[in-house]
Amino acid sequence: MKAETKVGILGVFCIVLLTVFAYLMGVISPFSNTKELFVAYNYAGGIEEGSPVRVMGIKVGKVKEITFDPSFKMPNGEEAKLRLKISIDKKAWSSIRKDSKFFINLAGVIGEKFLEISAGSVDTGEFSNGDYVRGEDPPRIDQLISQGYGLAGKLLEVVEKNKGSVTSVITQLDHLATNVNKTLVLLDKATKNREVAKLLDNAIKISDDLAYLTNGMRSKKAEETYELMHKLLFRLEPMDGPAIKKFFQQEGIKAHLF
Amino acid sequence: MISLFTETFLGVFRPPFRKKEFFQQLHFVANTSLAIIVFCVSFAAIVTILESSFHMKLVIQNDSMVPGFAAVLILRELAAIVTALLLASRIGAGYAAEIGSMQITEQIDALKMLGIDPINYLVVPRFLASIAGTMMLTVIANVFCLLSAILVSQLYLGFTFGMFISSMHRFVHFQDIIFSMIKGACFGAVIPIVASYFGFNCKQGAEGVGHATTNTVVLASIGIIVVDFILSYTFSHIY
Amino acid sequence: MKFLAEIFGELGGTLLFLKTIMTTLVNKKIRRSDVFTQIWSVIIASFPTTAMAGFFVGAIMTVQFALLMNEFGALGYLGGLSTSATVREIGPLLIAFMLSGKVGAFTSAELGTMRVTEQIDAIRCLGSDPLQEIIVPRFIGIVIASFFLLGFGLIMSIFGGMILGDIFAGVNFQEYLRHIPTVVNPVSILFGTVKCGSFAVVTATVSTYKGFTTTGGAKGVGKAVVSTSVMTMILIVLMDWFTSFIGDIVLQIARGYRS
Repeated sequence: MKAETKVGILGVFCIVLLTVFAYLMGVISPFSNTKELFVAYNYAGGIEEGSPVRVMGIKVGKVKEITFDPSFKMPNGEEAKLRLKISIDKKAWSSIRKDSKFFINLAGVIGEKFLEISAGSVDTGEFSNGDYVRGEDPPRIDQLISQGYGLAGKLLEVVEKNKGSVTSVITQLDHLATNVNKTLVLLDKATKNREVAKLLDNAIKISDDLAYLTNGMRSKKAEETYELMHKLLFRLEPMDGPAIKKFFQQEGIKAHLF
Repeated sequence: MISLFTETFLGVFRPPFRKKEFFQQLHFVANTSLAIIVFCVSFAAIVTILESSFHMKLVIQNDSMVPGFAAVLILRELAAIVTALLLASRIGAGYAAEIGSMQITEQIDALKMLGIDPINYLVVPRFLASIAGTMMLTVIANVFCLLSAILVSQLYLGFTFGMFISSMHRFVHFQDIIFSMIKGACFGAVIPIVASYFGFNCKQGAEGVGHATTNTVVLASIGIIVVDFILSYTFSHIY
Repeated sequence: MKFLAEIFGELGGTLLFLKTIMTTLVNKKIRRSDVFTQIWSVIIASFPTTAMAGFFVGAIMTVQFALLMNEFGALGYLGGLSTSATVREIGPLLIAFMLSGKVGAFTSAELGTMRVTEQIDAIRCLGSDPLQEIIVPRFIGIVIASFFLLGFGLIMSIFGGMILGDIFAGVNFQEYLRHIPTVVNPVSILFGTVKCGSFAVVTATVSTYKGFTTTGGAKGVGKAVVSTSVMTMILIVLMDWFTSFIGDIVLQIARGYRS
């Protein structure tokens, strides 16, 4: 073979390898047929162009483009100034429905950001290519923290300002506690008084009466009644609400008739 | 040496263009070195994977990032520099020995007598062929290095092909292979210039040729490392 | 097929030559002053090369690791990691590459010249063994000098990494040095030393073998030098993998016994 031919073959091989690499890196993707969606956000915590898009946790596409559009409004009039263009593989397209939610999520050791799409229910329709959707703004952890800081600061301020009243409240509470303690001690002594003894006697009598009453309940007749009630409940159980209602209504009518 | 470089660089744009010579040299640079380079680079990739897994476990007790790390190291440094160092010893030493023995057998003087510019006839085709060949070999080395890295990580560390690729996505961009090609081209330019400089200044006798080749290999290797440092530093501001 | 046979022929020849060197080393007396001269000349010849290469390699490693570490926000580990990588892997490999370029090529050129100008035959005519007189001192010289050069190269690479860490990544010297002992352990250093030693043996054997079996004038010398450097490079990369592999197994066995 001529040297030129060999060199040519090598050059072609090299270009093929470059293309394969580009395909693997996702720079060019001639075979995959993706569809596109526009997702609008007001805050998209740290997502970048090329961040993965996942449906039910499986990677199906990526964020293609991020644009700022200050005058953009959703059809329902809500402002959403950030627009993400995402590509989604066709095989996952049918599981994204109109009621799917678009979250921004964290994963991995270094906290890689990705766009998570929850699977929608089958009843609602599919998106068509290039639709606009409103994404769920992620909770801003930084904002939460700063709010927490503010709260803590205010609490501190309140405490510092009302230092005197707070201490007085505490001392009063202390007094109250000692008073209660004293009362309890007095009560303890009072049990020796006669009136209390009388009260106790009465209480014993009442309990005796109660015991007599319950004795009557423990008769054989009562037991039969219990059994009947139990059976009735057992039968009623499988019936659902409307049926019971109906039954009672009928019974009621019967009762009226008789 | 700088004057030789400028002369060669100017000679690139000056006719006559020696196409046949160029292709022959390219064949020598690229095709005959292909097997050796693929072989060496694959082994280097294996070592890289094992070592980076060792270090990862040492520092963050977790080797889930190994593919990404190793891929970055391979693409940015390893493939290009191993290819270039191998070529420096193979091509550089070969050119130095060839031109050196031409010098001591007075063939270069004969060329001058015939009115042929030795730089145009000898250096320029080699220069161009070396640049083109190193670029091509760098791409091939990169891909084979990654392939063997994937294989090894599958065998030793249990990463599947898909895991490797998706872990790569986090760190590697397509520019990396382009930068690696640029590096390859620069290394390819260093080798023939150094080799032909020592070849032209070769002293008489067998010892002279030996000296010329030795110096070529050493200086080309150091030149490659220095150029690599400069390029790495420059590219690090672009990534 | 012919190509394969050639490769195996080369390999077998080299191994046989190594065996001859070893038997000579064991059986015959080597003049000590010869060995020291060789060690000295090898160190002198390759010191600037190694130092420079070490410096720049340390710098490159630091730049690359700094880029990666930035993603984790773990710049503090920069010093430890790049030094560990240099000690275990890059340092020995680099020293071996430089050694094969400088000393290996030089030795094979020198021996080749001796062979071509029939000096080796002359030594044999005078009744002394050329292996004992010329080859073995060189062999020992290269192997021992390589350890010294490894030390120099590593120090230079730490130095280069330190400077670049300060300039490029903003990690100051104390911070850089403080993390080195946390990551680099004695096993790593032993590992690097063993690697360096095996590379040096490879370089020394191949270069002496190629030089010793040179044929055919000035062109033959050139050819011998080229094939020396190519063959050492390939064998070094192979040995690199091999030592990593064996080291891994040995470490695993050691850990298994300990626990």
